[in-house]
Amino acid sequence: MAKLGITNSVIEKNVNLIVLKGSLDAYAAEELRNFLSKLYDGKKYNFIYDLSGIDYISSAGVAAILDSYNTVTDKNGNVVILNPSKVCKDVLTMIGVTQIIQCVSTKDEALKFF
Amino acid sequence: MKLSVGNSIACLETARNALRKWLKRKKVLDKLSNKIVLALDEALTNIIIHGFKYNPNGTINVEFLRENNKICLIIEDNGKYYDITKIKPPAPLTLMRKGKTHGFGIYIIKVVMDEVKYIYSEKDKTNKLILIKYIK
Repeated sequence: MAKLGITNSVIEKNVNLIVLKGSLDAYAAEELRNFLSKLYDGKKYNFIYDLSGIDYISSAGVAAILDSYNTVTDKNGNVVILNPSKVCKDVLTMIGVTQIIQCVSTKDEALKFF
Repeated sequence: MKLSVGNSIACLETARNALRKWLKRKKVLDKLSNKIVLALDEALTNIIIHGFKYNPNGTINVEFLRENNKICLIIEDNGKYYDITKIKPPAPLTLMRKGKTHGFGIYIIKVVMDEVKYIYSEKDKTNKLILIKYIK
């Protein structure tokens, strides 16, 4: 089964920097959703997803990210994607996610959206 | 190459790895291989979630073939009848702008693969999905 590493830290502006590593398929997407539900319980609604370490992503993984975007923006929060891997960027571009969610190369750029 | 895929999303990675290794042996470049693997994953995910509704009591068999200049993925399952060739998925961006976050799998399959064919066997009650990608 797909192994997804999730590392979370709170950085400037009280934003959660969520570093994902590994494969984000339908199975791993459930792990991500479970993790995020705990952040929502803690009223955390500002996320930067560092996707530099994602070696595979499917539409199910994208759906988990999009769902989080819809959830947090409803609460006046935001999601930014940071430095997606080449494989990841190809899929995000194919689906058009980059036209919905900001996608940047550095943490400083990401923080400008909060 | 033939393999049986467990009817669970936990088994998707095994199927992807098997295809990736097989494509490497057939000397398919990584960039193209990634797309074909994605198409397989999307098809299997659809079968597991929609065809079987997560019911683990189902069978999914996959065959990988290289015929001259094309790669064929043949996916056979005994789940619910589901002909994706009849579905014209809207562009994901259109769905996303309406707040939708799902339903992109068929779109991806049709964008990535050059041909998508579907055969339903009334006799065996099986779906057969054939995904074809032309390669140089």
